[in-house]
Amino acid sequence: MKHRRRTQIVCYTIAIAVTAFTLFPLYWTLITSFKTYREAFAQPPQFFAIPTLKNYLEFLQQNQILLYLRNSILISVVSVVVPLILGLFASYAVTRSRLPGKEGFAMFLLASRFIPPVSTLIPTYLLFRQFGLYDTLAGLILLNTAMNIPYVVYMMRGFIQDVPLAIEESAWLDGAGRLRTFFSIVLPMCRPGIAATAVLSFCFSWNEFMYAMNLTSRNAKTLPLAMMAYMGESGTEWQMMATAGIVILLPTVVFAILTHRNLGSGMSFGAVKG
Amino acid sequence: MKKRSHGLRGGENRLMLGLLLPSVLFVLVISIVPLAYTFFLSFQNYSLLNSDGAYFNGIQNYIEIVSNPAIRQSVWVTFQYTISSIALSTLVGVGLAVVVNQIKKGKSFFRVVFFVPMMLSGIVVGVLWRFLFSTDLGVINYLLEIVGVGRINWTGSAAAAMASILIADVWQWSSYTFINALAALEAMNPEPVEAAKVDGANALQLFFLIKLPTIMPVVGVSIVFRTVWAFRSFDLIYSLTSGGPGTSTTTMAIEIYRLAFNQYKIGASSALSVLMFLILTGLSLFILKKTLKGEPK
Repeated sequence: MKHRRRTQIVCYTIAIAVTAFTLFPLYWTLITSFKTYREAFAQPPQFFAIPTLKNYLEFLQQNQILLYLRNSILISVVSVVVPLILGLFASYAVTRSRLPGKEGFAMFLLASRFIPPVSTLIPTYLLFRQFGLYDTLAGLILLNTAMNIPYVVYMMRGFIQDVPLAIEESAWLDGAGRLRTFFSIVLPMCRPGIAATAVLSFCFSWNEFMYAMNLTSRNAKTLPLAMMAYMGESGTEWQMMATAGIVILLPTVVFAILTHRNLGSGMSFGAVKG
Repeated sequence: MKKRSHGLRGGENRLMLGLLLPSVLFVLVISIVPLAYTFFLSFQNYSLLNSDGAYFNGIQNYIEIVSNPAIRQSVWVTFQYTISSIALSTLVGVGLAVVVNQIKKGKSFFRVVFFVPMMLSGIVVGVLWRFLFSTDLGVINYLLEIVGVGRINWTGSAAAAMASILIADVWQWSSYTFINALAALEAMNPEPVEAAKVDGANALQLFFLIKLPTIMPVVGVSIVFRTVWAFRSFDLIYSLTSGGPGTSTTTMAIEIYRLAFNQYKIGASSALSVLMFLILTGLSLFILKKTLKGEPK
């Protein structure tokens, strides 16, 4: 018993120390976003501050910020919904059909996940210029959708495999078609997986920076770009950087907290199952 | 299934192909076409400054990336960064998973806390650490001074800059290995561990002889995924050090970007992209072979 208690104490000590290491940078960003310019630059650094929402008001009043916010939301939402619809169909076909060559298609879709985005940046830039997609929401949505589709297929394979084939087969015997069983049996049973996949896809697109930085100039800019604008030549306004940072982090942190259980098992089992 | 006629089977295959094709075509057009274009450009003399001057120049770009010391160095930096990052985040992630798995009360609190960083924007994480590491203003240097280590010029030297990237990287990405390893530990059959405990095995023996071998497949997959991501990582390095000081933290991803958008050397940038793609393809084929193995037909 004594031994066991000692193990618990050691475990809690380590876990609490790492919690402090994990949360401190987030706390520091949050508290900085509540500071005035003078407080943010104070020496020695101030660990506490009387919160002021001034920075947030200033951030929201910034020229074009609502446009960036709208762009970010639109791009992320569409780039979740479209890949989910297409990817779920594809994932089902890859997992449950007897289609000849389906492994080849699966391989192709999964392999495309590993293309480094930076390696296709220049041609994408040139093609976007040529086809009028430069600085448009449609362009960024196309890119994010293409990046999320393979991800959906990959994640959902594990979940679809988990639906017992016997249930589907008995529905077929009752005369339900393939599509019908897909919609009325497979999809409802995969709900936790779909939620997890949707959340992760959203976060990818919400956080996407490199394409947004290089393929937009005015109209299609997203929130991460608004933050980088505070990193000026004449010095960085840290309290505003922190404010923008918190606004960008907020939805992803909320999603992480709400869905951590599904996400945890989903990711790892998508990886080893199959 | 066997009883179904061939006609039905054919119809079914058509339906399945119909479900599959939209995704395949989408990815083909948006991801693969630009990739093919990159290959094409890597054999061209092409500058963003005068686009009409593009012409085929053989393997000239490849010769340049091999002979240019800055580019060669970026390959070396990429490997250095990737290997250190994977080693550290795997160690921390697995260690933490074992620790949290033993915790009785408040487990889900720790699970959430350690899970959050991997969901966050790389750009924001980079900026956030840049502020923490700031030489004059940063809270890290302030604390280091209090404990007597003194201020470190984090952005001033190659080693310190790389260290700052690795710290930020471990902060963000240990969570990925952690969450996977924890899920594997929780799914583990508790009996062997209990039996070994009865036989008097200590914590280290339990870990190395029973737990680690059981969760190894999951840890292995996490390692390979992390390798692919670290290898092409751009956002965090871009916003934390921008590849500096000098080119000391310039990875291949940053160098590809610099070559194209600062030096307008599209050909050389494309050649380096191709090189990076080939290295990553090797890695990803390895993953896919592992994950597609044993799929029910």
